[in-house]
Amino acid sequence: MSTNTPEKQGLGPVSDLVDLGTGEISREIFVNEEIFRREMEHLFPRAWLFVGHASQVPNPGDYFSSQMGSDPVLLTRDDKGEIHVLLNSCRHRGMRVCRYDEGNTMQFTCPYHAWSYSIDGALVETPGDLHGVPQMKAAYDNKLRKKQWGLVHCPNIHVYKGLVFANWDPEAPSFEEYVGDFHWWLDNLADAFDGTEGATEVFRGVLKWRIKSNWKFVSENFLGDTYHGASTHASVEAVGIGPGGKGKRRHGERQDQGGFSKGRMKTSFRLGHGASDNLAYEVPYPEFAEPEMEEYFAAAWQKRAEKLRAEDRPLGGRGPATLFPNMSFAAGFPRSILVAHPISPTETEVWRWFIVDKDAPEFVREWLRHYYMRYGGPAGMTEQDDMENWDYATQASLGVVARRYPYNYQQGLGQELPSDLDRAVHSHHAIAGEVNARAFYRRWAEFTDNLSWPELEELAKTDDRATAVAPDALPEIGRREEDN
Amino acid sequence: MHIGLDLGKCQGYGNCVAADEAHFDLDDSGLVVLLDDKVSEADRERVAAAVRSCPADALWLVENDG
Repeated sequence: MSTNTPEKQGLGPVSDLVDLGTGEISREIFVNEEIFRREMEHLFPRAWLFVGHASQVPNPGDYFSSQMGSDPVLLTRDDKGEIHVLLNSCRHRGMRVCRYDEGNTMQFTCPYHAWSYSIDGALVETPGDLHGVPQMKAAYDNKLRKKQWGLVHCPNIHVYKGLVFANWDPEAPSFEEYVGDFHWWLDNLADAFDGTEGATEVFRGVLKWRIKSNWKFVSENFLGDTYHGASTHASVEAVGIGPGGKGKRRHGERQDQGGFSKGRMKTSFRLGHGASDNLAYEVPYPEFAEPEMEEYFAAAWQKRAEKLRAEDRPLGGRGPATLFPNMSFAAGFPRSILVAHPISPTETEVWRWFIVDKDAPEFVREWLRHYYMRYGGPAGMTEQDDMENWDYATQASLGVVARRYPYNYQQGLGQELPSDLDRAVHSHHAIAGEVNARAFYRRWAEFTDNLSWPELEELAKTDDRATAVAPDALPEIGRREEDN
Repeated sequence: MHIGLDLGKCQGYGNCVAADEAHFDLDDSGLVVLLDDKVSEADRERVAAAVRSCPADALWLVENDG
């Protein structure tokens, strides 16, 4: 692989750069302009992308400005309460019709020539359609066919327990098919701490910032890189930023339950999604220094445990995890969504949403706000650790000589463990194991090489890894140290 | 009941004319002209819809003529 660089041979399919047999992946996929162009063209407009949360647009006329790959979009709610995703670009000269982050309006009037689009279904047939243009008589002799010149509608929208996803491709499979059994992690993200389904909302604003890194470093980190924790995040553990304070872990695990616990095998899906844990790996809510917090979360955990056990549903699965391709999240402590928006091969805009129970009392919100701030976002201590790595890894991989040498993804190659989940396997080890990243890049290459939907569906119909694994290792999954 | 108008805001979208030709028209410069600024109770709904359809917020309904 080291001599087969795109510069020398012209760029073939990107699957040539992802060698799952040897566990080597070319650095080109993190820095190359042409590969980035193909991602924008073939991956993002065909993937289900997270655009925002329904609680960000609770009332008619509410909107939230979001991004889908290369395109700015508006998440809106019309006068009947329906949610829409519209391309934020005027049909006349392309001007961004809305330049605010969020707000409330029943119409978007373009600042350039004032073409006006309405999201009031009483005024236009389809909310988002063109409502009027200045000088309709003089400029168009009243003949402009307004129905044909509305804001471009994203054809596929799916609201999953408040999480709003969209997909530009009318041929794309349903959201359920795209997500598969990975939905259990989305459930834990969207359900309240006491297990009440979908009873969560976005908490305060969305943090947005840019990093000089390829977007895939971010996705890969959250979908199952537990290997970096001990080194990268040593300082935050030393300081003690977690719920329990000094001497306790940053995600709130109790002392015997950290990332080093035996049973925290990762989960990797053939569809590209990945999680840093598995459903059998239960981590109860943390110990808190404050008695009222301790009481609140102990009660929430008990209620959740009873509810899920009654449904015969395991209590684990809090991540961190990544929904292919770029929606990462953690469903425990913190509870937060992170989307890595691609800007260029070497620049990414990171957006972080924080999630809280709708009925959480003020003291819980305030406590979580402080924890979320010291943990995540551009000033969050854990996030800063990660950003340093992604920035410098991207920059140091740009060199002419550096680009000749692939990255190593060999951890646990061929040692995957079987899973009860559909088309999924587990890592052989709780900390080591790059099976999630390998599956992510395999799916990434299949999309980026523009394979057709029938081809994509055929390839992911079965999981070739699941048939090749040793079934006797299954009992290790989900077992904690204390179980021994 | 009558129609309020801020001609300085009008941009000639013509939405009001499309909604109600009895009360609204456009002049040669493409801006709105009120054919009749009085609104009867029978016309209220139609005029209200026309007023609401103005993207430039140049029109409104004045309920109390006193």
